Amino acid sequence: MLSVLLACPLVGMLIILALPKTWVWTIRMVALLATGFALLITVELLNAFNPQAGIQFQQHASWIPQLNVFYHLGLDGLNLPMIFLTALLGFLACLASFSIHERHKEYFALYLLLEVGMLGTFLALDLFLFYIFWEVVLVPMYFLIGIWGGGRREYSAFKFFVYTLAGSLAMLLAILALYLHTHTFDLLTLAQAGHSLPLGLQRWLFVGFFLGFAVKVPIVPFHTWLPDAHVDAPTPGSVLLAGVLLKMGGYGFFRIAYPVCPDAAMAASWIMGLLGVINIVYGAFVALAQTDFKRLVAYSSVSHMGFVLLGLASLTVEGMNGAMLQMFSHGLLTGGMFLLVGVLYDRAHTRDLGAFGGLGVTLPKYAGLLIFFSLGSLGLPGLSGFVAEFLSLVGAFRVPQLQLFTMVSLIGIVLAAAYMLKVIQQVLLGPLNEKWKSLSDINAREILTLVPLLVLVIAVGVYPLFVLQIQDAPLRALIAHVTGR
Amino acid sequence: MEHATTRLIVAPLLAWIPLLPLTAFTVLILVGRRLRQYSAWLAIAALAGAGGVTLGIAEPVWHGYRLGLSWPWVLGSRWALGLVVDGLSWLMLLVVTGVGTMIAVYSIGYMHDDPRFSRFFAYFSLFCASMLTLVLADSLVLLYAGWELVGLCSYLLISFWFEKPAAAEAGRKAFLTTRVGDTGLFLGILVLAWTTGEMHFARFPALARQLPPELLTTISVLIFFGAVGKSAQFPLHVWLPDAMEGPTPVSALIHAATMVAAGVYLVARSLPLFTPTSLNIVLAVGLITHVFAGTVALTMTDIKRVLAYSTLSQLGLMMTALGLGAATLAMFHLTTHAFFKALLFLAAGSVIHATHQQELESLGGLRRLMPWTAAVFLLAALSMSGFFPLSGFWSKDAILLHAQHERPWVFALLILGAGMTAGYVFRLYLRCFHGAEAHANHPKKGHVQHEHPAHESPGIMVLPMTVLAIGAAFAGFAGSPWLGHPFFHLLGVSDAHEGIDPAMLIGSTVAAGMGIWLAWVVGVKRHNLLPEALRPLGTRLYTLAVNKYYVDETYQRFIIQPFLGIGRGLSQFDRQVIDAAVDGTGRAGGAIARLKAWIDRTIVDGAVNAIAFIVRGCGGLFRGLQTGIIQQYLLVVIVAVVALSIALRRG
Repeated sequence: MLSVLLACPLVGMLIILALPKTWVWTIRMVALLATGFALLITVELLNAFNPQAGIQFQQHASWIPQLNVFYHLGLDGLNLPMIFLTALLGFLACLASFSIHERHKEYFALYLLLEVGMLGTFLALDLFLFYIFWEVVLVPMYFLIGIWGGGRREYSAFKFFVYTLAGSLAMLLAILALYLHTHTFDLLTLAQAGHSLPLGLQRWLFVGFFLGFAVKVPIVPFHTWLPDAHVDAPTPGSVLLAGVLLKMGGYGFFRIAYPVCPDAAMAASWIMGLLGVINIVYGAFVALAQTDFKRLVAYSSVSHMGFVLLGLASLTVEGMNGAMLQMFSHGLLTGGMFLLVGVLYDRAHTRDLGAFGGLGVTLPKYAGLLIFFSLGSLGLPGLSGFVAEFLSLVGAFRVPQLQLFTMVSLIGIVLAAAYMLKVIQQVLLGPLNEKWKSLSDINAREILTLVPLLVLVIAVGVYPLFVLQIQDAPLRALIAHVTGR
Repeated sequence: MEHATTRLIVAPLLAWIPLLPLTAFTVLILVGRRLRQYSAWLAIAALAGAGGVTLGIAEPVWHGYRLGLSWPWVLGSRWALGLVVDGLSWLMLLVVTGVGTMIAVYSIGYMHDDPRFSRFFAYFSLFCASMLTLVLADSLVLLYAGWELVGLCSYLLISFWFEKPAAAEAGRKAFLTTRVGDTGLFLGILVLAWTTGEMHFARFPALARQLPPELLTTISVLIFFGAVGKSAQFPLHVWLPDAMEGPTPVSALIHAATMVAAGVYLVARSLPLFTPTSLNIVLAVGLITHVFAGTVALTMTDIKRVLAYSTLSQLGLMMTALGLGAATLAMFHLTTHAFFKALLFLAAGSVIHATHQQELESLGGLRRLMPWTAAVFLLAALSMSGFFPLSGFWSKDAILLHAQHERPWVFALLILGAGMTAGYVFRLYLRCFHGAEAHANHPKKGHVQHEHPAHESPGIMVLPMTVLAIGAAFAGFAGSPWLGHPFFHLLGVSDAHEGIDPAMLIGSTVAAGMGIWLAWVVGVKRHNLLPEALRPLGTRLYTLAVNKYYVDETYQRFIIQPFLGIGRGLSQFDRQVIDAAVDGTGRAGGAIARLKAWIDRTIVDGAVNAIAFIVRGCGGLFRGLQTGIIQQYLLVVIVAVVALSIALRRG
């Protein structure tokens, strides 16, 4: 079933490559169907999933026997929410990709390849396979930014590619060192072996993995590729970049760095907490000073991902659940935000916040949606962001050495309100800028891309248990494994 | 408040109380525009329905039962969320649904011509749903959720006329200022989660026995900090006067009767956690706000701003009562205040609606043009000033009496506050409704449809004012000895408070009378009563008060600007240091690559080329030898053989 999931976008890509490039409508439909099928399969997986059963739907086949490399996929509570998020955003961003107006064939082929890479990264249970998928993601994203982007797109695409690649190299070294020591790439075996690795080795491995994941999350100060890449990426690219790619970094900590290097992770707890609070507060302050809509949302991502680190650092049930939920919730919220930025940019061709004003009068539906997603981002109770941040903070505060960090990160919550209300005020409120009098309101297709996210944001906010009960068991197991308690 | 009884009845019915207005919100936000005028009636029906449910459960609550309902939220029963009704929350429910319904009816008239009429009622319903959730919450977590949501609705409704930059800015200020307070409450929740993991109000009395006093003080002060933000107490009061940019019914409901009182409710709810130290802090903050806001209210010239500072001052009075440990008295004043202050706002709104003016300078003599509005305003003003036997008298005198027994110096300040209260509200009344008609009573030229002079508001606005006037007059009897203190029975206090103390009655009436007299002489007739020597000081104090003690300016200068500065500074740092370092690394990489390329070209390639050159040279040499002439080859062979044989022989 998992291979079928991977095959959906892959087959779609192959079909598109075989089509003549003038069949734009067909190409779009094939892409939509491919991502749609992937989404359907994910929903089916969600139904069939048993939270208590550990790793499920495994697929295990020998791939490179000389190196002990396996094609090993599996599903558990750690990756299921991420898979769902990927499939959902993959489908919605595909719908949003209809506003791409040039080189459709290449675009959708690369787009589907990107989805293969993202799904594979989350599904892989073999470190080698994981690395391959991890790197597969880079290439299509590079082209999506470099060809269909705007502004300084070549610069941003190159920066994104090289920066992430540099991080991955550190991870590759760690993977090789791990292999030389254990002669296996199997993540489940490696996780079992975790404690038996000498602490010195664990530390180096952790640093290697950390560098790889830190660039992706991104952790300050490895974050500056993010605003550039976001600003210059086309809207669907931004959505997937913020919605999914950042989560690959966070997921790496849960799936690899923490289980494989448990003692090092314990020792690094306060550093992770410190980095978390720096992300939260630093990202929020910088977001406050931005004048470009997309750049502001990009920095808000930096801030929000800080809660993932903080929760992770706590190694408590609340904190870890909060961290995982924050990844899911942030994917929904920031995906929605970038879609909304895109809607506005398609009409006004500017993202300068100062240039807008009073759009609440002419674009009432757009205004409602923008207010909704902004409120979600600033952590309004009843919406998903609040639950995630609340749990992360509660978890972190239970660890005495993280209490100060937790208190400082509350500044980030106030600042989040400040920059999000700034967006609302500058775009929607105030007297109407005459220049935008004839702007048309958000259309049905665009609303369709946002409604599923909106529904989920409310659902998670009101009844978070439906996500938490998926991820809770493996997280508890992970905490027990790492802390030995 | 500790409840004598723990008898709990499971009542799923309770869910309808917030769900009805929530449903109304959902319908109105989706299809409100098509419903047009009916959207108001939908909102009113939903809220009245919630009120009906409240009345329906009155009997068990009266008999001391608690009604509850609970469902799982996150991870384990500790975090279960639930609704609960006891006397305290039932009272709040009654205030919110009762006063709320009246204000909603009034709004039909007030918002009549507004292009976003249905949007107004959508937000209104969302506010009611959130406020009812806040009131019904059985734990701090759900309360916090409602707390933030009412803050949101307050934001949306303050900024309702968002085309006005001032309204947009006021909404943002309100949200951010209260959020600063909210972080205190949030931190309080974190500390509770860390130490005991217990969030339910019902467990608070037990916690108070378990936890060490220092910790209790910390927790309770943090919770109180949240209340300071929401109830606009000093020093987080700055948002409330600006919030008057919103439509007047909003000011009446959210910024006078209900939401701002939520802070008082929160403290009353968590009072078991408050230690003597933290109660003293509550007392100090309440007193400061009471007196400070009273002085500012005396100097403001915008009708709604006078009322806003008056609200601050009255909330300060409730906090003072809490600081004295008298939660029931605070709740009593909260209830009567909801009636008379909402009425004052509605009457003020009636004036604004009729004249399109809210500056005192441009108003006057409206008594003849709007007799009904004038009458209810006067009634509410008398009630707030504490005249016997109106509602305000009972609640205020109960607090005064309590203070007199507990802390005489507090009592002295409260008497001063009572005088000021009568002073500012009658200054308002007299200048609006008495004296000569200001020419501005006739709405500005250009409003073609309003050419004729100001007139009484339509029935749809007068009717709710009348109902509230009945409350402002008689609600206080619920706490009077004449009816056997039903109010205090509801809150679960058996030892009913003092009856009427004649000395107190006379004292407070004299203070209020003094206030009215001063309002007439100084506020209306503009006589400066101060002796010559004190006048410069008086002027200085007046300047200070009329500028609201420069609190806004101080925040702007010492908090807001520095924060924005940090933001800009870090943004610069991000671009010019971190990103520059990344680009620098990139460029360095490029430079190294170029250097390597040069080395490759000149040295590595050079070496290769050199070898090639030598080989080629040799090749050329050998090619030169290959002449194709047999004799030459033979010659070479012979020379070689000779040379070899000589060489071999030597060896």
